[in-house]
Amino acid sequence: MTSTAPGTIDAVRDWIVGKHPERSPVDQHIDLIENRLIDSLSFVEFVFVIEKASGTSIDVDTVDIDDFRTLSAIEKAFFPA
Amino acid sequence: MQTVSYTSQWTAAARALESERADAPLFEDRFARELAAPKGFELLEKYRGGGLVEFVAIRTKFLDDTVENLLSGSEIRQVVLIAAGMDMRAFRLRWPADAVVYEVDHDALLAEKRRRLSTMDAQPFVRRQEVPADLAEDWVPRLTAAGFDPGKPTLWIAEALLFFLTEDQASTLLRAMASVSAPGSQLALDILSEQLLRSPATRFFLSALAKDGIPWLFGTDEPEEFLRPTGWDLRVLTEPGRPDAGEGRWPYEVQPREVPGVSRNWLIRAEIATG
Repeated sequence: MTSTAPGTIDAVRDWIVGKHPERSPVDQHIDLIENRLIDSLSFVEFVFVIEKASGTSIDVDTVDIDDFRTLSAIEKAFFPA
Repeated sequence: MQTVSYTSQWTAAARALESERADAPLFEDRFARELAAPKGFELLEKYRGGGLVEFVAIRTKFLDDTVENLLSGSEIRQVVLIAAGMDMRAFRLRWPADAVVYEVDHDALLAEKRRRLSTMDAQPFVRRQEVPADLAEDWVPRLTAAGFDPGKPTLWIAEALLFFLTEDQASTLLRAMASVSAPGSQLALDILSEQLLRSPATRFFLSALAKDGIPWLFGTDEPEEFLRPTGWDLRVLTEPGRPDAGEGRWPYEVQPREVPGVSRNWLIRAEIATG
């Protein structure tokens, strides 16, 4: 559970920090995959978190991985201003 | 030693970490640290993450349990470890007095393991036969020459092996086992999901493995369908984090089977098909 408001990237950031408290704070531009903050086994769960927070539906079989590389990219792709 | 043999040191390193856990280790392999040299911990660090250490521990325990349950609860007394690597089950599990364990692997690996075990004064708890063989060739005659009896039921363990093979090679291997499996024979193994090999988040990991000469090649999202034509009927299909497979020790949420797009590690027991 997160205390942040739904509909913002903060919920996604909080989820990552929850999994990797030692890596907090998670920079907006850090590569989440290269830095192993996200891996293949957590990927689907991660996508669920983004779907829930953003209210968008994501098809994991057709995603563009570049949309998930950084918090900044995720925000741009799934949290339209 | 060949490149794939270094992965047996990697597995040994993960087993050493589990064995040295202060809090309720799933098993204790006191030889693992020694068997992990020289490359095991280096590979473990390089490829850390992705639940690998936890998976090795859970898989080891699942297969330990399978061995102990089948040998105490069935007629099976013949166990074959295919690509045994640094597996120490012969030296750490309880075995019936009339059991025999065949360890099949490359000659060079078996020789190195023997050398290390002699320095640790390790003694097996069961009759143990080394079977030097190349799994890419016709290895069954090597096994029978070592005393394996195709007329008796067998438990085959193929741990951390299938992902290094192509689908054809994996299927050929399972068929070869089936061809010398008496009724009641069992097979316990792990298989990756194809989804794990396809997942965008696995890409870096997989390309690093390929660069190191140990590419992961095969996975399936439908293990029942893969096994059936090879002569094996699925009996147990589970995944890390479930009650029979390291519940409480898996750092990921366990997703129900019907959720698409999930990277999975299947833990499997199958029985030789009859009729």
